[in-house]
Amino acid sequence: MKKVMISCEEATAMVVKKHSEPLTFSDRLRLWMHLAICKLCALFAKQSQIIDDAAASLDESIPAKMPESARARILQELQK
Amino acid sequence: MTETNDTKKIISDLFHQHADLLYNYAITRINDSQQAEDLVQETFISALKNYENFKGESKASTWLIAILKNKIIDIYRKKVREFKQESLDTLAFTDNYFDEKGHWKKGSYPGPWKSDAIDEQDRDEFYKILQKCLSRLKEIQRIAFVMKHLDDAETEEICKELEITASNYWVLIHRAKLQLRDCLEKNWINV
Repeated sequence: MKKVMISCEEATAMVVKKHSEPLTFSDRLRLWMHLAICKLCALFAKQSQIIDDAAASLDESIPAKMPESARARILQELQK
Repeated sequence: MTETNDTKKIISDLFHQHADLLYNYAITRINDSQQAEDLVQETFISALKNYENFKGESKASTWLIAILKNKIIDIYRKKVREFKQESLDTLAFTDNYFDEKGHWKKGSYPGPWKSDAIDEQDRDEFYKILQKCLSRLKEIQRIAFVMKHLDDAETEEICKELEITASNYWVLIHRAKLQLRDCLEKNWINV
C-alpha cells in the first residue's frame, strides 16, 4: 500500500505528468487530496496550466522575421 | 542530377513566400539565430535537390516544415547525446525548490498571479518573457519541453527520438516547469 500523503515535490511531478497522460486512480486520489490542502501546489497546478496553454501557441505569438542579410545570402545560394 | 532552372525558380519563389514562416519555426526551437538561418538555408537546399519527391499532396509549406523539423530533431539528438547520462541523473537534484522532506523551500513558494488567464493586452509581453525564460533552461530541458508543448509529441516518441528513459524525461519536464514558473513570476511584472 502506497502512502496516502504525498510531498509537494511528488505532487508537482504528478501535476506535470497529468498534462501528458492519465494518472492511475490512486495517484489521482492522492493528488486531489494534496491539492485540497496545499495552497502552494494548487497555485503551481493553475500556473502550470497557464504555461502549457501559452507554450502551445508560442509559434503564432510574436512571429520572428528572417533578417534581410540572411534572406539575400540564402537566395543567392539557391540560385547557384 | 542537376537542378533545372525551372526548379530553381520554383524553390526561390517558395523561399520568398515561406522564409519567415520557416525562420520563425526554427528560432522558436533552436535558441540561436545563426543556426536558425543555417537550418532554413539547408532546408531549401534539400528542397531543391528533392523537389521531384514533392508530389504536391500536401501544401508546400507543410512539406518544407517537415524537412526543417527533421533537421531540428537531428540537432536535438546530437545535443542530448553530448549530455552525459550522469548529468541526466543529477539533474533532479540541481536548482532544488524543495527541502529534504519534499516541501517547498521558503523563498521558492509559488506566489499568486494577478489572474487565472493571460489578458489580451498582456499577451505579447507574457510571450516575450516566456521565450526568455525558455532560453534560460538547460538545453536538454528546453528540448524536452519544446517537443512536448510546441510540437505536441507523445512521451514515447520523445524518449525514442532523444534516446532517454521515461523517468529521465519526467524529471526533465518537471524541473523545466518549476524553473519556467519561477522565472515567469520573477520577470513578469503583471503577475
